[in-house]
Amino acid sequence: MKTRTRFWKASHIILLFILSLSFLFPLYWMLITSFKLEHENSLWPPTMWPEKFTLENYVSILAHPEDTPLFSWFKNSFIAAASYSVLSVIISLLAGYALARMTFWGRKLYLTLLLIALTIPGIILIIPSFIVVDFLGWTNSLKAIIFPALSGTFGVLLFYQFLSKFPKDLEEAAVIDGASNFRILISIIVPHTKPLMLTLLILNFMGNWNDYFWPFITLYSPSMRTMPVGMATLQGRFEHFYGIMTAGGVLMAVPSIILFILVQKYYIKAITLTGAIKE
Amino acid sequence: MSRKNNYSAYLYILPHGIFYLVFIAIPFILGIYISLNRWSIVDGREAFVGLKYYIRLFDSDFVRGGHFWNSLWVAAQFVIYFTPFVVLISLGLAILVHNCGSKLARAGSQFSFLVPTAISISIIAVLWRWILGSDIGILNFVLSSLGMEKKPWLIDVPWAWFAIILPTLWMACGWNMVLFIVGMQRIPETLYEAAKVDGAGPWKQFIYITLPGLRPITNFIVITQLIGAFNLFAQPQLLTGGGPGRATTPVMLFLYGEAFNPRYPRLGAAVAMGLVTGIIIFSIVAVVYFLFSRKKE
Repeated sequence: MKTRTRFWKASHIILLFILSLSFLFPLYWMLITSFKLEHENSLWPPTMWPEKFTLENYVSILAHPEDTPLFSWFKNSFIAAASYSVLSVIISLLAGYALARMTFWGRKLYLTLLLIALTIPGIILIIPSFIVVDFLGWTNSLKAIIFPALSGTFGVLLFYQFLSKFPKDLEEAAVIDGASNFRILISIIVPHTKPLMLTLLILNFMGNWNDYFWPFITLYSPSMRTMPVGMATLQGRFEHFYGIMTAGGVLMAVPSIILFILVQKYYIKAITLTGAIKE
Repeated sequence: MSRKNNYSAYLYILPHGIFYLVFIAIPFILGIYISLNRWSIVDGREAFVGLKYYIRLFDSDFVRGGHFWNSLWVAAQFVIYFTPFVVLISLGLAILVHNCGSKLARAGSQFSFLVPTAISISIIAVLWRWILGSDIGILNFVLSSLGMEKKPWLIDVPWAWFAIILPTLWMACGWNMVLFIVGMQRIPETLYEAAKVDGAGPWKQFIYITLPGLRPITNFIVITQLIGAFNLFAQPQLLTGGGPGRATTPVMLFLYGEAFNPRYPRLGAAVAMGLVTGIIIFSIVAVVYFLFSRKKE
């Protein structure tokens, strides 16, 4: 009996190990290809380790900033994702706070508007939003990547839900002391909401950082692109040069992976948050 | 607190309200208006055409209308193929990870399954185009060393469907696995203990306790994956180019081509098609939602 359960335990772990390796293999393959000389990629059978280790592909991609400005793409991605995620947390907290803690005319109406926005299929809004952004003169600028998504309603509903459950006593004592709404928000609500703010910040940062479709249609000059859009253009520029393409892929995936490792705990929390909103 | 109107509330709502107005409310109304006009990005409104762009879609002589319905069907096919797989594989991974006794194995495998979810879709697509290459791709090497034939993954149907679905599963399963694991953690341990006392084995416990307990999170996953799958764009764009022919051109890719065609941008027509698509997606999601939540009783 004991050896049998031990056998199942071991096979369970081995199965997980094999599955983990197969999930990691594409990343290994990207990394290894990026260190191979291009002719080695057409060898059959493929080589699992570079015959001759080379940095040529990285040099090719980094040495032509007029063609593949990786640093500009990185900078653009960072500025957009950082600005968007910080602004979205502030804006969502302000609106969620008012909706959860204040009585005012139109409160129910605004909550309904938020829920309506959550159910409108995105495909209806994409082209009209593009036309609005173009009218504002924001195409081919990071404004297009930062501002339109601030209309998102998920964060507002998240804070609304969280703050609705937040006990009222603390706040009432502060009201008696004559504290203003803003004072209450800063000194009572924010300290208790920090973990949620951080989680939403990370979710929004990663979402913006990795977003492809919207930057793809709004940013068109090479130096204005974000990394995901830049990556897609590498495919057209270096068709069949897998060493160079994977070198680009590695350079652009590494920041995401490092960030993921650093914030893994919050990232997992963020995933569970997406499932937390129910009407 | 007092029941009177708290005017400062409007100040707190205002920042979000402005963005809501400019990027949700206005595009929504503007979209309906644009769909009734011939519209150009340079000149704006060119001519009022009424319902022409809608009526035309039902005219069988209108070739691009046929392409539109085809692209909707392609998107629906992707939804049908992808959703069951993503739910079942994510659930399978969640069961394996959740029930693993070794803490190290749990943490390590959860990490491996989640890494792909943190990488941009365009990097994933470019990487998989290399993996799925017909002549020198590593997947075909694996197949041929197992004694199977090489497959034209990126070029021919039905293989092109695998070429789109496989990378999508790779990047989506970890995310949904986490949701399933949270669902499992929320099932009270006492239920399992009571079942054990009644002599229920692991299989019965799974069928009668775990699965019913996971129903709410499963509904959520099905709905979100359904909506996400309808928005399929980058994978066919970068992997199969929408081909062969139009076999893997889903509605987003088709509408992109309609609206941003460099020579003939057809914004009015594209917005009309987007609205029709939106209504169809909304109806399908509503029906699925209704079916799933009714079963609960």
